[in-house]
Amino acid sequence: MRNTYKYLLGSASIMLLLVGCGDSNTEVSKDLKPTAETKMIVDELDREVEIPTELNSIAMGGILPYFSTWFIATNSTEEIVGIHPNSYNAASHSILKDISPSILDAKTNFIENGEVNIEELITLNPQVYFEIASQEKTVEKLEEAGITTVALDTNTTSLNPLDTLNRWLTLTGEITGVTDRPAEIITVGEANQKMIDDTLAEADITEEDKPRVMVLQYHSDGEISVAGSNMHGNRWLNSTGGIDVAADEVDGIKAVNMEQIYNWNPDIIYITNFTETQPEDLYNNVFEGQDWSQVKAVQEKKVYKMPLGIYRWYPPSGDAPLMLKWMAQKNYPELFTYDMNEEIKDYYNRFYSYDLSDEQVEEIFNPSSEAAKY
Amino acid sequence: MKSKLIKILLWTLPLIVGLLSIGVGRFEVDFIVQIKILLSQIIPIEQTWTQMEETVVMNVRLPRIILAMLIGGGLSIAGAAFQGMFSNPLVSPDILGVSAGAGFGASIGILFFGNSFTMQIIALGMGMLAIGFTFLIGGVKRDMPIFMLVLAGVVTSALFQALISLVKFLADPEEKLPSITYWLMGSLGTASYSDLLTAGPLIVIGILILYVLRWRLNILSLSEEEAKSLGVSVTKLKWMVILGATLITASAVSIAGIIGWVGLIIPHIARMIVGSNNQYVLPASISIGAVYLLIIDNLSRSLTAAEIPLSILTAIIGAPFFAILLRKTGGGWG
Repeated sequence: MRNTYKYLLGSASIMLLLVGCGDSNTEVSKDLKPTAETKMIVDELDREVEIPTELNSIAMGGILPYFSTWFIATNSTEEIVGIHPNSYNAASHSILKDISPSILDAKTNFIENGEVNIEELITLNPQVYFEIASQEKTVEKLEEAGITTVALDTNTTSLNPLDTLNRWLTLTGEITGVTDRPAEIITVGEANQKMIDDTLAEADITEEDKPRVMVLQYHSDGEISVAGSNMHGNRWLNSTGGIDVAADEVDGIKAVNMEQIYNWNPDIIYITNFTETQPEDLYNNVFEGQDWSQVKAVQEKKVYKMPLGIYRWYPPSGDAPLMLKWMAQKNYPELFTYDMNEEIKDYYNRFYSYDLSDEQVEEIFNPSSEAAKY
Repeated sequence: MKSKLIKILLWTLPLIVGLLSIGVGRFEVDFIVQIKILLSQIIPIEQTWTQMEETVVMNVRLPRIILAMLIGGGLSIAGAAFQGMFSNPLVSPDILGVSAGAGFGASIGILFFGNSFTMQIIALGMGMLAIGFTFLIGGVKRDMPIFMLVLAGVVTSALFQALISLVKFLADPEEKLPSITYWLMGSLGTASYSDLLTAGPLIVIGILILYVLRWRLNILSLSEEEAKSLGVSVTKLKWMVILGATLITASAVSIAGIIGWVGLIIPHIARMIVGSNNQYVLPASISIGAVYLLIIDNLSRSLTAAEIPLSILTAIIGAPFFAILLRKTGGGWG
């Protein structure tokens, strides 16, 4: 009995100590926060957020591709002190680490198993923290802990694949006060879209002429999952004159069988960066029980792995205007005859002030299977 | 007369439904063509069909149909044998923790090796390990009462379910988690001949063991003293039944994920038809289970473009059907 009391007392005092530590940390972070100059912005959860005008340390969590938007909007990753482990993995496999190596200095320890560890984040002490809008609970919790949080939404009902990127670019411009760069990128994206629309209209491409395309999202020996309506793939195809074979029957990402793929018999297959499968794997028919050699896209060698630039090109990354041009060319090689090698070099030079070598371009267009892993 | 008719029906129904199932699917193949393709494997027929049609019939549908029937029949006889052995109608083949164990094995397999052959082997191994664990807790002593084994199974299941949750918690939410979740709901979406070669023989061996033991199961429902007086080693018999059922369940989980509900209700339906004598219940369960899972899988692969997980359909279609049967017969069996 006596012992029990002792234990209780002991653990209670330890708890008190721990609580004490947590509290003092919070206070420190509040003290450190600059209060001199701030401004108000409205984030994508329609919350009014007060942020410092001068930003030199930011962190981002569940909003995985945002670091690439930040980079393209500011041409810098110096401010980024913390990113999600998954983003870090993508970054360390991409060309971004060569263009802006400081991204590799970002900490990832404030996210454990996909959850934000508030104490760690407070220790990191970013001026602004970016979180995905679907995690409303987390956003609330962070706000209570005194961390200035900006919520960004990945969902969009728009059919325009650049919609999300453009929204984030605009908001980032408001946050940093640098608006000309983001505006320029949006203009380039819109110009590319217009060029594609005009070329397709000029060539009198009707619905029958359009290639029928399938987007392979996740793939392995035991799983064939395709992306259909309301997914990035569908939006890219809408913008580049392709017909998404899965659009009518698949909403989101769904597992299908080979028979269904024979039934669709797509002209072109795009493989996302979220799976390790490569076009050669389908050409060589290496998957047990899946005979891909019957599918038109495989017979005609029109299976393409989506590129990986400063981020995966499948979601709207900072390279999104390039993705439009790349896919339009794959869909209509005879209509879009520009040299993608040059296009990408120009773009990287213009926006990232970086000169790509031919090998680097090659790497971007042929991402390794390793890069699909997290 | 009536029982003879039932017997013929039970033997022929799986064959008929199996043959008809070859014509079911998203890709349209003419019925005559489909028969021709099948026959052309045995006798030479001039090929008037496309290569794609042949691939659909021979490589997509046929292995899947055979697997669905094997797994359906296997899980059902395993359920029937367990219900007989434990003298409890609420028992299903995963009562001793095999499914949870194999499911855990598959989850780590997917996490580290993707959906592959290695994953199947790990699943199979973990299923066996789970049974071993159950024995360790509940069945080491010779004369341990049988309910101890059930309790041990409940403990094992709970433990491995928690481990599955842990794996899901650790899995990357973009890619691995959907794969694991989908897989745990059961699917034959990518069934192939190699799956058939891996798991098929084990399931067949399991079914054969239980089939041979079918009449002895009646003895198990007697008290243990009575059974001993009949000169049957109860302990040995129990071990054999558990071995057979485990082989079936672990192999089924390793290739098709966790398919719930089949092993629980099919034995009841069998008993409604042939009475409660295990000698008849077990074979009838094979036949009905094979047909049931085959029909479910046909729906799973043809209702929508997306594959519908098997466990969803076995329960959604099985539960009301079972409820109607219950109302009609008033549970008149056993």
